[in-house]
Amino acid sequence: MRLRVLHTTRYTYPTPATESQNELRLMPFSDKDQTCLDFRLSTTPPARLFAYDLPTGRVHYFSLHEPHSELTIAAESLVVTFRQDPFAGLQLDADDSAFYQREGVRQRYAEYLAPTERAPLHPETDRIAAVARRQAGVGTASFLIALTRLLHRAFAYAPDSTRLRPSLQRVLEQKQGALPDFTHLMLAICRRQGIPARYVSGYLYTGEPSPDTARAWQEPAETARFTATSATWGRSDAMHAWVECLLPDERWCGFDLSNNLLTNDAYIKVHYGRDYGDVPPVRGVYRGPFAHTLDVSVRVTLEK
Amino acid sequence: MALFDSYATDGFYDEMFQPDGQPRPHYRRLYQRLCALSPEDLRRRCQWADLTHVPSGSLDADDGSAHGMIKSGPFDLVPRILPADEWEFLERGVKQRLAALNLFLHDIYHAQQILHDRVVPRELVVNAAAFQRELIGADPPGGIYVHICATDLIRDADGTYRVLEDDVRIPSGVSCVLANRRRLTRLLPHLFHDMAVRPVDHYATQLLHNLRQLAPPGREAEPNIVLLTPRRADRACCEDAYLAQQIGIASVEGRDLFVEEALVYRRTPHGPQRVDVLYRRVDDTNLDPLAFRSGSLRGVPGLVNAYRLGNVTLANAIGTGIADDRVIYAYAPRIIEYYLGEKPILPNVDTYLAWNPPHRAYILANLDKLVVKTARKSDGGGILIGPQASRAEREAFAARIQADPRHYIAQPFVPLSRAPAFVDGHCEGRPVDLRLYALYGKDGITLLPGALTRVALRTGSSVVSVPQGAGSKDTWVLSGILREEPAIEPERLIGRLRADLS
Repeated sequence: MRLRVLHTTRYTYPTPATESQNELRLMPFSDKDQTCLDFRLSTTPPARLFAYDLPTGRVHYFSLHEPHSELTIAAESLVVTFRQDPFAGLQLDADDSAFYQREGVRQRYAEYLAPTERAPLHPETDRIAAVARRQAGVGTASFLIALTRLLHRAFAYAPDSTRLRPSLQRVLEQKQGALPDFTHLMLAICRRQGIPARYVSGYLYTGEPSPDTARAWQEPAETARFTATSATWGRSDAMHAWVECLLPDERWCGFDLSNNLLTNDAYIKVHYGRDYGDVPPVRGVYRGPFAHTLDVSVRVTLEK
Repeated sequence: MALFDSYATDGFYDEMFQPDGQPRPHYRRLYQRLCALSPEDLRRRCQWADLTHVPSGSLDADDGSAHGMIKSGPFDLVPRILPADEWEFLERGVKQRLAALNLFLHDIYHAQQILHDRVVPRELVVNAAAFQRELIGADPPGGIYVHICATDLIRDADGTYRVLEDDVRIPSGVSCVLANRRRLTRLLPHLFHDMAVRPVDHYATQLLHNLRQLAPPGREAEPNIVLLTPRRADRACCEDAYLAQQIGIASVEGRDLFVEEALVYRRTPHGPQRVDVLYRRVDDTNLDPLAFRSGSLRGVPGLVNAYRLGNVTLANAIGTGIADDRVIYAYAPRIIEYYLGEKPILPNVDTYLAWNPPHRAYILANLDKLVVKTARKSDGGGILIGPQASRAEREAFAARIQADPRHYIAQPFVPLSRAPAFVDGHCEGRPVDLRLYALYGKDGITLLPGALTRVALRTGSSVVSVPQGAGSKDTWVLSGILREEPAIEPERLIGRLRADLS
């Protein structure tokens, strides 16, 4: 598929902000499943953009020093995606557990097996894993499909319930949360089962353009003087997130909890990391009022 | 009573005396001069030492403070001497080690070859808090990560030097070396006479020279270098102020700097001034609230990106802390062999990793014989001296080790070498360690020909590291010229002259 993405992030401040420093992780990845053909980034007020590459994706950086009461970041990308059939080559019935016990594998993917602050190793996740195992065949891919389905059904998606980042414990108890919370839960389950798993941020083409009503989920700013902001996905029409797990053929396969799907060519990968902390699309620090409003809109369209 | 009348080596390796009680050759002249002083005279000079005391700070890396530097300990008047051949050996050993650690840092932030070759377990590196994965692929000027390195050595019962740990983050204590030398030359100038003690006061000049050469491209002609300190007014940071003054550069706090279009500027009364090199005395995580989201007001938003884009040089580079993790320390001999194809010149202290199940079992079974430490120096409060600990303390530690094995290591209890210290009107043997300072610049690695010798002044304390409340000594590195010359007493010298004349 040839997909065009328009991703706009707008901050509005009640009184002008200054000394705004921002990092963006907005450029689609290029790998064997997709190629980013074109990427344009602009800000209002205009700023000089800098970029560098991490193994996990490209980072853009800019700063704004003049007082401004509105900041808009517009990212436009054109991506071709190739993975039409995610089930192709998937081993569902072979016992492949030996692969995950190999020392070489455990070392090569060590960062995607370790607990993180947002995805701690929690013994309670073993129960969920056990249920998924019972519903699945012997293969790891089969287990992951069952796990995705299980989490998709058992947990209620409630973006407003998590203005503050909830602990994994709370997500487990209340069985509700926002998409990043479930994604972290799935990471925690997989890693505790010894399956390397990583957090992916990206976009999903859902067919038709969706209305421009994304809602923001934001981290609490930590200080009054410098205010940290962090824009992320709101509804399914904002930035998307899913889990990639390593399969025994050393291929990463994407599992989308919110849609109970394996990621196919409708998915555009932007950045990946150990958890959300590695991939925020916009991360910024500025001097100014603590309060601000944030509007995010994402539009994915099919290019003929 | 004379100074050394009741001196006993008690079976320890003594820096000044041979087992037969004779002073070692390189100490002979100092010994004679000290013996010529009355205890009363020495006591008086000690009091002067206290009066002229510069609060430059001795250091203690285990107190959990951001800096590892602090409380100024008492100054002991009896210097420690390193003869030229020993120094030459130590110098080669430290250079080898620093070269290898620097190659290690470059590798783990690029291709990770050493990790893929399974010489160092990859998980120990990439999952360590000190490993800054956002800095993967960043290229510090000249490929140098560690511009300033401190290496802590001890000497065991055989007199073998062993590296106890490396400090490749923000090494402190060098101001103490410079101040101790100044104090001793003022208080006992005649001790230095004819001793060919190598000077230490060019340290700041050398550091400045190195930093100037590492300026970003296009800024080499007149680079602007500043020292970044956590809190200018804080007493704990007086070493920073002292260093800045010695080097001749400004000392600034995070709020004095800002980043615009990926360039770093200093706010001055005359307007913004571009900064090219930062001698930073601030931890990685407090450098930049944008990159590390520490929630701290300190730091300069955007600094890490300016560094990443090559517009400012940081000394030391970001992410060096992984190389002085005590777990990685255990791999230092293998790291040296891997990159340099050489055997390590300076051995480590044997180290058991609680991370490794067979080692863990050994540690838990031998807690009463081992010294257990946390892997990160900044963890604080984490040392168990097995032979001296109570049963309850050992059990508490065993639980901590089992809960978090990655962050504990254990080493055998090493009886430290001792050197005479002036206590209660005479000299007594006291445990000492040795901290060497190396600078890495485009011209290569240079060592400060001097050292910080820390001395545990309280009786009975002798552990694998010199404990809190330690004092320090001036440390002399002798140049080779006088190495073989026997000490001659003045009377005999006159006698010989007469004999020559007749």
